[in-house]
Amino acid sequence: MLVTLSLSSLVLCAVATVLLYSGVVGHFSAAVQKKAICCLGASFLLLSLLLSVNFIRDMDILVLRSWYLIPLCWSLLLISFILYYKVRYVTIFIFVAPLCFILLLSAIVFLHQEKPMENLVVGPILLIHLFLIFAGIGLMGISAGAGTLFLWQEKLLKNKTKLAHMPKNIPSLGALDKVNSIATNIGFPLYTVGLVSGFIWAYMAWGRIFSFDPKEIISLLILALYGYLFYERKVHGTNGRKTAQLALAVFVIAMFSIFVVNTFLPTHHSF
Amino acid sequence: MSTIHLIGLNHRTAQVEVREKFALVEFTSPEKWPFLCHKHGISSVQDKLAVKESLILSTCNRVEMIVVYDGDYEDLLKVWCETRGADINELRACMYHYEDEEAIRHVFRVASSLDSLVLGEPQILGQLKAAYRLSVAAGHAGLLINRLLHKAFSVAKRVRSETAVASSAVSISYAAVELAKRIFDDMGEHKALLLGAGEMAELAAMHLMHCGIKELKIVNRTLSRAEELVQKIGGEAYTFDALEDCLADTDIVISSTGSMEPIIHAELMQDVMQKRKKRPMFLIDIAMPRDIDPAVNHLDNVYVYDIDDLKEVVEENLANRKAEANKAAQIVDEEVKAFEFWRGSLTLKPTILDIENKGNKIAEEEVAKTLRNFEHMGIHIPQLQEALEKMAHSIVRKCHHAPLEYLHNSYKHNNGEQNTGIIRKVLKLDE
Repeated sequence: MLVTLSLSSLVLCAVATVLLYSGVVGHFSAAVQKKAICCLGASFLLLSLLLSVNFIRDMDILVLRSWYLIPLCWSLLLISFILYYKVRYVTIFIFVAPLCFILLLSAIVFLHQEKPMENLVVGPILLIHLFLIFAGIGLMGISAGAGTLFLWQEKLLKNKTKLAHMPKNIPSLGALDKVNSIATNIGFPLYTVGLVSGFIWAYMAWGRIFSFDPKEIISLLILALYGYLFYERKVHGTNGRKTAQLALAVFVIAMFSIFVVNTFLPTHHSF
Repeated sequence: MSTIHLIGLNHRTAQVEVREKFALVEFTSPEKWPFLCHKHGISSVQDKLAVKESLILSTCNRVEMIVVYDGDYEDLLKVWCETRGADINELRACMYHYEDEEAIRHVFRVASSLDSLVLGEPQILGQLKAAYRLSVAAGHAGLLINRLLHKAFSVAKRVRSETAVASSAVSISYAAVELAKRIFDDMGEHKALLLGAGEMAELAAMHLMHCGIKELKIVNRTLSRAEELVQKIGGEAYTFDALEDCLADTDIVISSTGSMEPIIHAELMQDVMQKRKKRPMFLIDIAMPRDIDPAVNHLDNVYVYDIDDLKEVVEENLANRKAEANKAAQIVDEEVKAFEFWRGSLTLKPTILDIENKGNKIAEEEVAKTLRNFEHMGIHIPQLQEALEKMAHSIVRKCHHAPLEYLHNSYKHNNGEQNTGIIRKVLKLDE
């Protein structure tokens, strides 16, 4: 069931990605937008069903890495729908759809390469830690998506690209910066609290707050960089190119942590 | 079938002075209309030419009348010249006249903005709609004009949605505003600065004001000229002393001074950007020589476009529109054919009715004759009459099916009128 539901969600994300990118290149009709959003909505519902059924059936699956990628994808979709409701930019999904596709594909691939986590004590602190970290990373993804589109469009404007050659359906730089700003303002506090709750849980489960695990070190690095981005926005009012680059960097490190550190470095974290 | 005449002159055939001379703009009520419509009764105003339907389109680039009239189009020219008190020979020298299919094609091309001075400009459709409203109000829009204009509006919509003939900016000021929209989310939250009071900058500023810009500041060497412009387009006037503060407070700058040296250079903009916490700025330099040092474009969150950049945008967009015009012309041709088919079918309707009436009459006569014969033979069955009538009408319908289908098809192949005549003769419909 896990595989079937994951595969269906994966296909829906792939269809949404194709629809959204065909819209960026060509004519982005309201019908195409609606279809893409419906695909992502259906994918979100399937993932919700998958998570509910498996969570009720077997809490121990929390030790599996593939199981972290699926809730991460679910959180990303949930956050993008909340943001879409708030700002009504379909372009949020242009980055979210392919990212969800990659996360789900990885989840299916990793199903057969599991590294169960040691001494896992499932309790409210762990759930808070996971939920907030996923929300934080999801918002990082939104920031990075808006940042990528910002940098692309900014480069076209700086190079005086003809209007006819510019992508027709991406929002203005101002709108992209606004999305980046909203996602950072919410994402950083969530990620911070998520990380602190992780340290508390580590103390309760393993008797130490910090164990110099590569995953923990890189998480602190992400926190520092994310904090710098938050500080620059809030204190110095920095916006535009610099914040777009920072948001992208934070997200790239977070993805490096999930896909590279977990696969190639010794760590006692499943994800 | 009534003839659709289209006579007119436009920016290609007549100079502006001639277009002014023949402009037809004051027809806002039925009494002022230059023609008399048949349905209002010819006797009431004997000195006006009675036509079946008419519509007058008069804009700065074209004056045209679409008239459904069975007489000679020279009558229409006379009415036009009498109305304007102008010389008919002068009109003949610069006018065009289309009939039926060509007239329909022209109306569709005008509505789709394929005949406009600026290809794809959107105003003409609004002007045509306004002209149609006047024609309806004057009681001059009948079956043909109603259908023609509604079809023209749908053709224009189809051309806009299926081709890129109306996409992208084709004027400097419009291109500047389009670019500004790429940078700023909501134009209503941003302020603009007009540096210098040149005509081009004024146009661009007016365009920005139309887009709902929050505030406009005008900085000029002489305050009086800036104040003059403020009175014309609104905003606040400043001298050059306030330039740095004004720059720090505005998001869009349009510069068009007559200065021989750049006024805005990278060092000044660095200070300005510090003051405004690096919020994005869009600078449009339409001065020659340029007012803004090109190095300013290298600063973060600052975007500079000069007159050549904007011209390139406009020229390329115009070329794209021209390429799309061929696609649009194909759509127009398709729709003209469809309209002509519909118009042809109007002529077919009386013939269909005549065929049906004649067939029904024969059927009824034959049923009556048969019933009389049955009566002579002493056969009295109550349901017989109904059954015979049903059978007779059914035979008639089946016999007529093939010739009617043939007539319908012949309208698709442009020989409908000729074949209708043959069918009428064969079936002796006119006897």
